[in-house]
Parts: sequence; structure tokens; C-alpha cells
Amino acid sequence: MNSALQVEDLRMVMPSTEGDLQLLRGVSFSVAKGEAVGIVGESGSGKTLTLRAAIGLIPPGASVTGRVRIDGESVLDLSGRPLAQLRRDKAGMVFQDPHAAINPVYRVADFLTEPWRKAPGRERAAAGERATQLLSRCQIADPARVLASFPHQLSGGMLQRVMIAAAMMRDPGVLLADEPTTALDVTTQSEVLALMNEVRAERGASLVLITHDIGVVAAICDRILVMYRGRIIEELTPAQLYAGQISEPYTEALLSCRPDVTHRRDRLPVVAAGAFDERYAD
Amino acid sequence: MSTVLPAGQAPATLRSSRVGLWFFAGTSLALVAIALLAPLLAPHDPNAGDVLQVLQPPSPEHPLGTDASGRDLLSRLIYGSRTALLGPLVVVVVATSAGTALGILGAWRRGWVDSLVGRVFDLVFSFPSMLLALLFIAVMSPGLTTAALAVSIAFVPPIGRLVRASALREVNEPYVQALQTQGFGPFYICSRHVLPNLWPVILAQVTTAFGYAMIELAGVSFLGLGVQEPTADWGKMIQTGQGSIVRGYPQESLYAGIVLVVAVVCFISLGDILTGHKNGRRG
Repeated sequence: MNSALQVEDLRMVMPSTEGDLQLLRGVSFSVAKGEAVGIVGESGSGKTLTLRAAIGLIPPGASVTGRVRIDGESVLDLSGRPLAQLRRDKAGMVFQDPHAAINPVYRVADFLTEPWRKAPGRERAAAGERATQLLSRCQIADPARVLASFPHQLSGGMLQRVMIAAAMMRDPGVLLADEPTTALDVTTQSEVLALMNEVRAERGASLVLITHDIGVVAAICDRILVMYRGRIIEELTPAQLYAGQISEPYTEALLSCRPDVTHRRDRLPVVAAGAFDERYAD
Repeated sequence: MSTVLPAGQAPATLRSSRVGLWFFAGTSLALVAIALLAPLLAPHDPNAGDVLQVLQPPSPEHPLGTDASGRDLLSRLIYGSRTALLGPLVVVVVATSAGTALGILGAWRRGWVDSLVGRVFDLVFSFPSMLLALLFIAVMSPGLTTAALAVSIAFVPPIGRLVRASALREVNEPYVQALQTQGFGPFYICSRHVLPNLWPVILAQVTTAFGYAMIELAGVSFLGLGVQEPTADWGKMIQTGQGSIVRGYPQESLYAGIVLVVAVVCFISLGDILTGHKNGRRG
């Protein structure tokens, strides 16, 4: 087993008053060790659900079939302590809005070293040291001050660096990032993204990156998966994307919705709701 | 008792001002001090009667006069503050612990656990709290501890519901999910992360509940099922003073009643102000 993350025929069904909703309809992909994979698609296409399901976070009431393996362990068959251990040791997650994803009542140092809170003193000290190192690696100039700060005292960009450091604390095999730069200023977006990619690549972790921004994915990922209505409809390499070798009309449509600096357009096109439903029906 | 509702635009009164906070907090603390220092402050033994000095008017010897058994009223009022504060303290500790635990449990587990807890709360709500307390005391035996435990039962649902509502919002915050992805268990997340964020809500509710519990317990004592003779207690004093009122000596019931009202108003107002401050801060 050479892949860091393997998803096979993942299906998720949510019962509702208007019949069962097919949230994921057979998602399959695998991420090799050290590889970076981007998932793009419109809102509601199932990107986030796939990522959450990959570490066994299933929305209440939904039923899931299929297989997810992280480092060879079948995530969906685990529960309780083994699942918690897998989440803690083998996968790191970076969330969209760092201010919302970090409990505001504790200091950054507590957040980073939380898993070691009850560990023996020596391990705790080691964890603190590692936190300092990771923060400086994440281009934080004054780690000591940041460690002693509360989350609200830091900017979004700073805090997202903290989050990246937190995700890397255990040296996970795979880093899952759910739109990690959406909540940040445009100027810090590319910085944080590049940094995240460097840090995880240095440590040999794979990356699964969800974003709305195809340009971002093309820049840092080895492969791009396009999702629509709960399934992956196309897989591209950045080279194919740049060369315009796109076979699916939906991907074309999605690309045409991007603003473009070379052409002036008064209004951006949108992908009409349901325009591709027939083509991508079961 | 009632649940503290988030205050909207409150008019600028004593109860909403900063001065009010200090006034009510100060009075409440003074009450606590009086209860702690009762042996030093009371001029007489609260339980020592004197058949030759019954129903005396105020005098240098007895600043507030004496009751029908010739006991010093001021001393009995001062000692009465002990049971008056101790009872609600037990109620608040028991009811808050149980209510908070059940509220968070419901908010975290949702589904049938949440429904079950909610329906049990409804069931308890459907009885008047006094009736519930009397039923409980009828099964056990009268006394301060029994009375306090009995009143606690009725105080669990309001606190439980409030905590559940706040916890529900907290549990859906992204940071809770982030903690789950980091592999922390539910108990750890709830006790170390959710609970500290609920403290302001709980604290405000506790202060108000303290005031209501005081009335409730005084009521139980008034019915003769709480604190037993000869221990001094305000509710009990209102009851024993009744006989003297028709004979033209209202002071025992009157003084005990006044002190009780002042204490209750203080604690409830303090709770209201704390709730208001919390809302203001959260904006």
C-alpha cells in the first residue's frame, strides 16, 4: 500500500422528507505519499463532505458506504479511541476560518500543545520546543510572543500559520486543507498557501487541498480533481489545464467563470443551476 | 423561578447601571459577611428565651425587640442569614451541576438522548416547584438539607435548558469540529473547551437562581417543612411571628419579611445585571 490516502467508491446518503439525498455518489481517488491533490468544484459539490468523511467525520443522520484508507487503516471501520488516535497522529487538518476554528479562551501555546497537556513534563517541554520551531518555520518572526497571545490578538494570516503549525505538530502523513485561504486577505493568501505547501513537502506529507480557485490548485498541486454533484467528473494535471486539454464541458464552464486579466468583461458568467444535471446523472 | 432572558434595550435604571452592579454586589457580599461573622455581631444568643421579656418593643437591650418566647429578634435575624444563604447555596450547587451536565449532554448527543432529557425537564416543569418540593420532603424527613435538595429538583430544568441552548451554539462552532479532527474525545472537549465558554451564561443564571431559591426555601420553612425549631430562619420567623401579629406585635414577621425581600431582590438584580453585561459584551 503506497498511497497516503485512498478513497474507494465513497457514497453518502442523507434521508430527508423529500426522499434520500445523494450527497456523494461514488467518489474514488488516491493520493500517493508526498503528492499534492487539489479538489475543485462549485459549492455543494461534495468537496468538504469528502474531506470530512476521509477522517470519519460524518454528518449526523447520513449513511456512508465505501472505503477510506489512511496509511492503510480503514477509517470508516474505526470508532472511539482508535479513530481519535488516527485523527490525531496520521492526519492534520487546516480549516477555512482560523478565528472560528480555534477556541478563543486559550492561548496559542495551549492550542498547539494541547495533545500533550497530560503528558509527562519532558514530553511536554519537547512539544513546546517543537511548537516554537514549527512557528518559526511558518515564518512567524517572534514565536515566543505569538505563543503567549490569544487568538484574537493575531491577524487571520498569522493565525492560519499557527493552524498549519498545529496540523504539522504530529508529523501527519496527510494534510487536509479545506479552503485554507478563503478567510484571508488576497495579499496573504498566496503567501500562506505557498508556505503550507513547502512545510508539508519538507516533511513528506501528502496534501489534499479544497478550493474554489482553480489557479491556486494548478500552481501547487500535482493533480486536479473536478467534482460535480457528489462525484469526480474529471482528473487533470496542471499541464493539461494550462494547455486547455479539457474533456468535460462542466470543467470548461467552470473555467470560463473565472475572472481573466487579459479580457475585460463587464459580468462574469455563471454555471446555470442544473445545466449539466443530465450529462452527469447516474 | 424563571429563566433569565437575554435583556433587550433596558431602560437606564438602578438595575442596569454600573452603580447598581456595585450596590447589589456590595449588599450581597455584606450579607455573606454577616452570615460568616454572626457569632461576633449578634448581641444575644439567638435561641435563649426569657419568659419575662416576651414581645418587648425596641430597647437598648434588644434593638429590634423580642419575640413571643423572649428571644432577641436582631440576633435571630443575624443568625437567620446563615440558613438563608446556606440553603440556596446547596440548591444552586446541586441544580447547576446536574443542569449543566444534562444540558451539555443533550446538546452534544442530540437525537433521543436530547429528547429524553428535554421531556424529563418538561415533566419537572409541569409541577409547581413548591408542590414538587413538598412531595419530596413528604417522602424524606423535614430539615434544611432535605428542603434544599427538594428545591434543587425544580431548579434543574431552567438551568439545563439554558445551558443546552448555549451549548448547542457552542458545539456547532468550527473549533469543536477542529478539536474532533485532532482526535480529542467528547468528554474532554466538553469539559475543557465548551464549558469554559459557557461560564458567563451559567454564572448569571446561578446568581438569579440563588435569589429565587431563597424565596422557595423560605416558603418551605414557612410551611414548617424546612428548618426546624429552634434554629433561626427568616421563613420560619415569618411563620412563628404570625401569632403575635393579631396580638398587636407584628415586628417578628415584619423584620424577617423585610430582610428576606431585600436579600432576594439583591441576588436577583445582581443576576440580571450580570446577564445584561454578558449580552453587552457578546454584542
